Amino acid sequence: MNSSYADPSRAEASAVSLERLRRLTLRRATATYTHWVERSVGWGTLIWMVFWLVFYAVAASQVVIFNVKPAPNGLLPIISSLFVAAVVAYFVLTRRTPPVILNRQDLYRVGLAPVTPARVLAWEFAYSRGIGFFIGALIGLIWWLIGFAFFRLEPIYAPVALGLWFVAVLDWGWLQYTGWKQIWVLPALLLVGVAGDLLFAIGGSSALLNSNPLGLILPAAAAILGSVWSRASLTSTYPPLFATHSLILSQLRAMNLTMVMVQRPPDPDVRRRLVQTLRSGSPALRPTRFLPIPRAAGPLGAIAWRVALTLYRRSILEQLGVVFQLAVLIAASTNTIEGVVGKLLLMLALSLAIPRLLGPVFGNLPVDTITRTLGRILPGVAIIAVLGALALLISSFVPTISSNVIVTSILHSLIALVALEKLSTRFKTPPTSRDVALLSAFIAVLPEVTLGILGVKGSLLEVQLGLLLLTIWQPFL
Amino acid sequence: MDTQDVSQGSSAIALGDAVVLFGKNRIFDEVNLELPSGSLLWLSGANGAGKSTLLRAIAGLLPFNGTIRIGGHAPASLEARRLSIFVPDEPALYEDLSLREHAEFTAGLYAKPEALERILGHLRTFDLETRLEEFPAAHSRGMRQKLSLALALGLELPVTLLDEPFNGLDAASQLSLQTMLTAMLKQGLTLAFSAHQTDITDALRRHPACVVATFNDGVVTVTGTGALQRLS
Repeated sequence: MNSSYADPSRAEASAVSLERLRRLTLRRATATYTHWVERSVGWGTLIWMVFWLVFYAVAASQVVIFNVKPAPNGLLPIISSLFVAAVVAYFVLTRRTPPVILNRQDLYRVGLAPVTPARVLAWEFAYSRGIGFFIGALIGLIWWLIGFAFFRLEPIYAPVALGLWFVAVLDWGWLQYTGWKQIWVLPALLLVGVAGDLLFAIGGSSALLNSNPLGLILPAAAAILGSVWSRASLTSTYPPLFATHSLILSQLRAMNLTMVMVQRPPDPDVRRRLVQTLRSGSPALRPTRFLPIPRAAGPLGAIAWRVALTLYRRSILEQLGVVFQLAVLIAASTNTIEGVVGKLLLMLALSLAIPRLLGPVFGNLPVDTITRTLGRILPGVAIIAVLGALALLISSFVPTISSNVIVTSILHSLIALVALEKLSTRFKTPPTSRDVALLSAFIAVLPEVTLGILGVKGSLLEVQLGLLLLTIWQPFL
Repeated sequence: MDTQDVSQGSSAIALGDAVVLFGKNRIFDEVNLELPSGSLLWLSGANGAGKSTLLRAIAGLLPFNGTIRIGGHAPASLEARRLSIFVPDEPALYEDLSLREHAEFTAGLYAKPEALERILGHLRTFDLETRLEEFPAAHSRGMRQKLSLALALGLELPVTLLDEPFNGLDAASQLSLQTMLTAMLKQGLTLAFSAHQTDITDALRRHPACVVATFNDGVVTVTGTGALQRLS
């Protein structure tokens, strides 16, 4: 090809332009985040939080150091060596998606431009390695304190070693994703590491146990070799599915970021479909499970059908998870744990189980609130009723469990379900949102707590029923 | 203009038994097609027929079975990326770069400083001259589409792939785009695009270099005199 682009100066100009974009974006993003911190959190609050974080970290380290116990030295090197090798091998060899990706803008604007992939992904790799090293070093630091306090070890190089292992996992994970032929070198390195640990105490995990700097050789070698080869894998083309994976993963990342920023969980169904596409390489084109719509039942039937269909189309594992959580909920209501702790656990169980019975978020529906509420809760009520009937049947064979307790538990679930429906609609938030789920659970346990304080537990069922009806027919939501 | 970048004897775009699979689902039957430089490939068909999928495969964004070549090179290879540009149906723009910065960045990225003036010229044609210092986030879908098109067309690469380029444009801009595309064809550049707007694209369709690939129930039928076709 007689290409004018083959001129190295043109290739360099492309790279310079790309680096300018990265610097500009970084500068503007930093300015935006700084502004956001300033307006939303405030520097004073931030400094105050950092001060207490450091204060508690120092206090915790002092507490840990004073609780010195004898060290089980005999088994520790074998365990740590095998553990490090197994963890690294697992995270690298099971990788099916890229550890670094391009967002949509970068993919179309830069990923398709005549710039080597190594240059395009340089920032993403540098950022991910930096974050990886930092997390590894932090874990290493914690291990250093624990090792010193409980096992009489002085692993002063543990932060560096774990930081390097995290970097190695990233780069070797990329090589595994690209189908790099020399990926077998990693298991070989890990085997050398295990042998080195056991024979000479300078293998893959020795830096976690002693203060010999030679223990850094293997993690450093793995990290350097991994980064050199991952760069070599990016000279011309991207892996075949990189664009598809990047688009899906950047959507998932955006959903997670939204969740952090607005404190709302993403739509679980959208998320599940994205993950499914990511795993199978094929979008779910058509559903595999169907429910007939009850045409004569009007809007109530249509809303109930919509919720039931969502619950039905979830995977078997998720459906079993809901049943399991409801079973735990009923068991938790049998007053095995008394007092405030028991009620808190009950609230937690309710807030985890009930949101999964409500299905998707509805916008403004052209129906009255009672129809909407009854339609949305109907499938959940049916599931609770079936499980409750089963629990009542079981309780008839177990004399220690009173049927009243089961009925109380069923009413807990129903009140929480109705309250959650009302609150999530009122605040336009998914039912899985933690704040509304916990508030609904609190409303559900309120009668029991209040009557307990007043010492009139005898009329609990009546009060619960009253609250349930009030929640359904209250005029505000 | 870099028409000389297409290897001598190579087609600008060549497809040999090209098929895209999503898992086990075949989106369309094998496509065989060879387009010389200066051709116009119009991908036509109903929604979901596979037009965008084929364009994405040619751009190197999707894996495929069979053979696809851009100027004799595999899609997504560095050489193919030097020769071609792909414009997605939904504009992919940096929200923290102004329109002018987008133009400067794109010209720099493709190492074509002379393209900057052309991009700015296209933006003028699209009536965006007064908005060059604004961020695209503040702009409508149509304005973003104009920027996205101006950036790609201003580069004047040997192969330009456009996914639904007329979508979101007002009537005057659609005519302007048609004029820009016709001018590019005159220069010997190769274009491939998908479109539904038959009334707008009629003039392009009558172009002697136009080849129409019609997607219908998974079968791709190629008609037109501009291509060395091998029908599947």
